[in-house]
Amino acid sequence: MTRTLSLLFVLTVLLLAGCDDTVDPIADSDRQMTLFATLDMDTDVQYIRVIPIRGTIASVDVDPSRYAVRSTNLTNGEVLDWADTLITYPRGQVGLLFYANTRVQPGHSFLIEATEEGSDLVTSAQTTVPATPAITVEPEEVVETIGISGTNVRGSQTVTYDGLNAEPHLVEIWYRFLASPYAPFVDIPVPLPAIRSYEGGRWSATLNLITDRKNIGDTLNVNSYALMGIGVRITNLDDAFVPPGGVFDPEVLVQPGTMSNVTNGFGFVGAVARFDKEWAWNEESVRILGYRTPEDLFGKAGAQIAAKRIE
Amino acid sequence: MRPATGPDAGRTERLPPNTRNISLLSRIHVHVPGSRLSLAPFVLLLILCVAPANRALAQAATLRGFVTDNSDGLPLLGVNVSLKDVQGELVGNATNLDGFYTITRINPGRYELRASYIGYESYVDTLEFSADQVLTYNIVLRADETELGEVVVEGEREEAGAAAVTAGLQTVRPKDVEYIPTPDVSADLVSYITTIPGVVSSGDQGGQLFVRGGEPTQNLVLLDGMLIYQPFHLIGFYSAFPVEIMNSADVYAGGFGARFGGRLSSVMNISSRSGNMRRFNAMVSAAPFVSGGRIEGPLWRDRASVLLSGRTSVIEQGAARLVDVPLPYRFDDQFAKLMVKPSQNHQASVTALRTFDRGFIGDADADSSREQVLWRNEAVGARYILLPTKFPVFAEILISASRVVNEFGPTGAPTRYSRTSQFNVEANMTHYLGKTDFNWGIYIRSSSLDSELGGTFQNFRTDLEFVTEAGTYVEPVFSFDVGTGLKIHPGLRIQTFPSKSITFLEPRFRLVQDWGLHRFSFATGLYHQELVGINDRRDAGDVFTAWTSSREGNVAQAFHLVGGYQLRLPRAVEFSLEGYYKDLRNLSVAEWTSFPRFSTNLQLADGKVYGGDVRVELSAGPFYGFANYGYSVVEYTSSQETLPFWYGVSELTYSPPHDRRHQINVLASVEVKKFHLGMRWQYGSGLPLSEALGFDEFILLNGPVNLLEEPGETRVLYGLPYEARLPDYHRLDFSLDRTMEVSANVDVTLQGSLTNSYDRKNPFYVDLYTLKRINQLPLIPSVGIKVDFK
Repeated sequence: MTRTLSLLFVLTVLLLAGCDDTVDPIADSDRQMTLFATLDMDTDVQYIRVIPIRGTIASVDVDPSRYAVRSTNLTNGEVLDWADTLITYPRGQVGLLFYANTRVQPGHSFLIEATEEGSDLVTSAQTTVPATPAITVEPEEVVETIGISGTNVRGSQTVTYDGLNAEPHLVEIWYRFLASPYAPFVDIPVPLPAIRSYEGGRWSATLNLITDRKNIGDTLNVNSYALMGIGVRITNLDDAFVPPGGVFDPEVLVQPGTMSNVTNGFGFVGAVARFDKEWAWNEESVRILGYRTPEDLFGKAGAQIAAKRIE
Repeated sequence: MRPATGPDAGRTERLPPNTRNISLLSRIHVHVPGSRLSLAPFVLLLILCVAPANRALAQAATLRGFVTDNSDGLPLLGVNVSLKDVQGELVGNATNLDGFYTITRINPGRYELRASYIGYESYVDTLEFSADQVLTYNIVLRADETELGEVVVEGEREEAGAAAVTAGLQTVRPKDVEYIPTPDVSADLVSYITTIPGVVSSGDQGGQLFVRGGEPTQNLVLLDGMLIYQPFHLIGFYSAFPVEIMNSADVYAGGFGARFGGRLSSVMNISSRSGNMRRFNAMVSAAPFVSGGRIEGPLWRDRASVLLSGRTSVIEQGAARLVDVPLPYRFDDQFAKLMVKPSQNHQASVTALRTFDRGFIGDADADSSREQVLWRNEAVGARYILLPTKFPVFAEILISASRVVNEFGPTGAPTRYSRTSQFNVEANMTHYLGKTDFNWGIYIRSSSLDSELGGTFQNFRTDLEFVTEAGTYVEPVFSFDVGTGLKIHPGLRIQTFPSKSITFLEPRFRLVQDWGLHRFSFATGLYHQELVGINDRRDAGDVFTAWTSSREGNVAQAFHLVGGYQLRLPRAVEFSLEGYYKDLRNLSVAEWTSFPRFSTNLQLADGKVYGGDVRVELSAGPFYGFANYGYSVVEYTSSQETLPFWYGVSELTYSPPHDRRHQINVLASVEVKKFHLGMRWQYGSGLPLSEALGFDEFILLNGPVNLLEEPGETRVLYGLPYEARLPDYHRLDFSLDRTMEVSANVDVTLQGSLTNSYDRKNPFYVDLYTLKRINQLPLIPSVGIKVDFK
């Protein structure tokens, strides 16, 4: 009995001694690339970063010729082959970028496909540029004097964007000034108004012109500048460009697969569009609100020059 | 027949009224910042509990004392001391670690006293007891010269041994430790502990032990009552407890009693040996891993002794050259103990320990900027044993201070450090009340916690922090004549943290039922850990630990259930079976992230641990061996806020990196012609590993991003945490030694060993960032020599 047990033990040990002891912390995967891009309606050149998934933490030399990126405009069928370039960042990192000299149009959908030489796998992502909304500003008459003496002033305007794909990612509002007919414009940003809403693709905000005047007066000597107009810009992202929890938290987004629309890879390819609206008040309203008109500062001739610049 | 030793031997004392003690204890106050805490009510309550029982024994006499070895004056454990009356009826007891025995409820009259111990001449005397007498009677036993061969103490094996596990408790004696083959001529306690099923080691390197699912910082390690924070050396064969200084170790893998608290997982209660009371002796040893020495002897014969021990690693000069593998580890430890016996009713000892570890965990081929880990333990403590002349009481007072310093980072400029210290005062009492031993105690301890964590672990405070804790416990042991003995230990521990206004009530319960050859045991209890050690377990090589108090009242908590069965078969075969379950709450674990960093924020997790062990032990003539198998499952469940975004679940259940499912240990030892041959084989199934799909750069797209300017940040493409497993671990070690008497006063022991005999490439861990695989130790042949000066 003892001999049998001893033999069994020795055999077990010998068997285990010869067993596999390899370990590979890198698991097999059919994902070969990570793509990051934001197709931008406002730029003439589009860029996409292609990051081949590698087995070491240290970056490795990438041969751009082994990779290819092609875009297909799914709205009009246009197909583009993108050019590659290696870029060296300030701290020495090298990135593989592909670019295409093209503008993307609002409402158009794009399929981006990246391939590697020798592999049948296609890493792809699809995105749609937000469509152009209808923009209105009401009322045109912005100022009313109130009170018995007529010295108190009340003024507001509501800006509405109708037909948005999502709540605006970014809203900017500014007042534009000129110090002289030939001087550069001075844009003074103001805070987002408290009265605003988004529902069913319709975003609106009511500008409190009196509050804005006070805020601007704190940063600019309005007597030395002529008010040329007001501007609103909305930056919108595509429908998939929504972080989990509503916050772009790097600790959340760093997890592979989080907010990713890439097939056979990781990362995200999104699209961004900006929609501006600029308008001006009549001269009476400008003066009542405590600003100077171009004519007040530059005279008629100067005012005409400035008006042409605005156009 | 020899006379009792000590000036007070045979003296009879009368019991005084208890009121005198109460008035003394009522003056016990504890000062804590912002308040004045009185422990007197606790003490008073306990004495009131005990007083009726004392009165019930008012007419009975009590015999007690210490039993020591004539050769060295050191206490003998497990000596049977009995009294036989004229009718031939026997009452008796066995000595404990201090060699202390007590026999209560003795009716007045004449008795024959007998103290017997295998391998020693029996001691016989006749004693006369009067009513209420408390007699202190110390006994010295002399080795039986006529008995040849090794002394096998049967009484000792009752509670110690590889298969003698009782409700999670395994008692380890130096002899058990010496059976384990190591690459050193001197054995070490940790070598034995790693053979216990359910104990998972970080391997040959790292110095971390996980006991039945618990983390290293959830182990309470005590040496003579002193807390030792990080007692295991970087090389897994060594700890702060060489067998040279060891008397005994009680290892509770769970279900520990009310005396112990402040940790969730386990207790290793180690008692050190005292120096020889009769003559000086010394030892020096040299081996490729460690060289060391010990000297001990009487400062005042039979009254005071000293023991000094020290070891230092010689790995870089020795073992590393033997195997031609860089082993950049250095450690040393020093131990000192002064023992004083001013009278037969008093004993005092002062113990001091210092350890130092420094090493480069990880890629030994890396450049000099690699990060090193360093830690230092320092502890000093005094233990005073008092046998009140008029009470049948064993009183122990402990005062100790412990400190650990831990650093991690580039050499000379650590990015993380942690300094933790504790001052502890406690009193432990045992009242002997017939068949009941009434144990109780009080304590107060103050901890200082100071960490600089290099901007990581942001959820934890890193300011200097003081935490004061006070508490008490009661744990009577009731003995009943059911079967061949039933012992029930109900217990309650009360811990309070005045500065945090929190108090824990921790009920405990242990039961041991002997029934002939069979023993059934059961233990359960509730445990809290206010001071937690934090580290990043994602990195197996990271042994840096910072201590802090719990966050926002989320105190870690555990509930244990342990049940076991032992069978002692004829022909010295023992068999045991034990199952356990631990429910864990509010554990601090690292948050999951794909950023490649070694440390991160912490989050709370719950866990459960369950498993079972089977053990067989055989001792037959020159052969000794054991085999055991352990099955264990450890699961953590965390509820990180980001989980729903990542995995679509609010909770993630995973196996932490110490979840070793299967373990086997086999030990065989045989004595042939004065040669001692030892063999140990150990097997552990693979530990969890987090695999990655690869690496890339992560660019935070939070809107339009200029890719010409944003390079991104390196990212690990992790899959689910700990889904993969490392390969199984197994290793076969041999040792052969022989002790030769070269003169009447000098023994020389030569030892040769083979560690990892078939050169198994056991992975320690794989550095994901460098893809460098760090293996455990390779095949290491070793020789050592030890010289004992007797």
